[in-house]
Amino acid sequence: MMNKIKKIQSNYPRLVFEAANLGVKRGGRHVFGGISLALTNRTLLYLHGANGTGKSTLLRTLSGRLGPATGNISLQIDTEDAILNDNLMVLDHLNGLKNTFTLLEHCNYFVRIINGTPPEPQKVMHSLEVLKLHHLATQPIKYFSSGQRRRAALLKFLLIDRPIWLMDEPTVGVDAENRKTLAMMLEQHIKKGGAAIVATHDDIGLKGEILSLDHYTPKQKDMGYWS
Amino acid sequence: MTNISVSSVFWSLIKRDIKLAWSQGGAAGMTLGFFLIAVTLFPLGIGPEASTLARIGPGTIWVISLLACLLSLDRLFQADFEDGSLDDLAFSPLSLELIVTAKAIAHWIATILPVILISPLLAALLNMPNLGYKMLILSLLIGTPALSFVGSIGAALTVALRRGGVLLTLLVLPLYIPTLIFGVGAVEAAISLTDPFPHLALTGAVSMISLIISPLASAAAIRLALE
Repeated sequence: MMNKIKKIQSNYPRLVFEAANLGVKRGGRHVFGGISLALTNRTLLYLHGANGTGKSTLLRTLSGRLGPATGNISLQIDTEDAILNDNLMVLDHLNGLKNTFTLLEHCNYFVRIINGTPPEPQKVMHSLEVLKLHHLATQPIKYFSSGQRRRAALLKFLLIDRPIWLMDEPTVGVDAENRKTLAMMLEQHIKKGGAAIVATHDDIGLKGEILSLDHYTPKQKDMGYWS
Repeated sequence: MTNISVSSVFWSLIKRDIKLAWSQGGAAGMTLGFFLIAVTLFPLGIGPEASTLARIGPGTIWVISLLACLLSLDRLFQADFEDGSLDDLAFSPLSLELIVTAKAIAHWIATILPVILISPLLAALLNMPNLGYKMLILSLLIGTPALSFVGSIGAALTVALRRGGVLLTLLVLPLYIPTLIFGVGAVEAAISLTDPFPHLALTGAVSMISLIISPLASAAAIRLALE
């Protein structure tokens, strides 16, 4: 199975993705506070924590879509400040698939909207093969099962080459065999010099640092919205 | 990762949205159907007297165009918001302002342009005087971009609401009044052999102002929704 993912020689440039003293408030409630983390090349970081401790919120904050109440986020590539959006690839809870598109159309439009150019057909076919979706290439996505949809959403990491991957529960609905594929994708990415943060309740099967969000929930009782 | 052409990403997004609007479950076909049926109801309700129909013709077509536009607007951002593709778009090289502009343009091309093209047919059904046809098409071409752009603000504000359609109508319809007044004014002026140019110029002015203001307002509203 390992030979299916081609070896890519070019490693990513030196990157430092840092968040310092991050705190987020949602709807007047402190979700978490005082989180600091730093990601460099070849770092795999797992976010653990009970439901509601803010794993998704942290990923949303790190991807720049949710402004933190305290702290800041910075990305440096080759010791220069870099634009976060150009270096991230994010998988959310939602899959970002269009029911009426076929899988090929989805890949095509997705790449064009990010890169402006259509993807190379070989790259698309290779990505589909890695996630074992090639037999569904011309099927409209509305006929997919939820596990197949999740795998189709994972395609974005293979179609577009970005150094930092943020994944929010990538294993939901994915069967055992494909979880191994996911682990392999992550392993290759880390080997190439990329970095990844994965929020999950499952064991991916790869060694990585663990950040447990259980320790960052505010100790004191909330005073409500007007506090 | 550099050298990404922003304009080709922009056009890709427009193409994608037009394709979605005309695919199954898209709004374009339904909007056109609504326009046809709603205008056809007027002769049935008011009676077949030719002079009455000729009098109300331009106004009827303009009003039903506004309503047809509103009908399709509530899904402008909502469909992408609900399936997560709006989050993916946030990682494209386009700024959110350009994304909402592209989506408004796609809405106009996919949904409003067919309505404009079919309007002379319905004008004939309403016994509109021959002098008005050219001006009807011209005034619609110049005036309706304002409908898509102003409407996009309402669509962005109501993107996260479950029953946003009604609220959208309340928010947006009052803002359509200038376009309606000057658009109908141009057609009536052409029919009564007076100068339609001042009306057309004002219609165009409304469109241009909305082109400038609405991307900023819509992008701000979408940013809030993505938090």
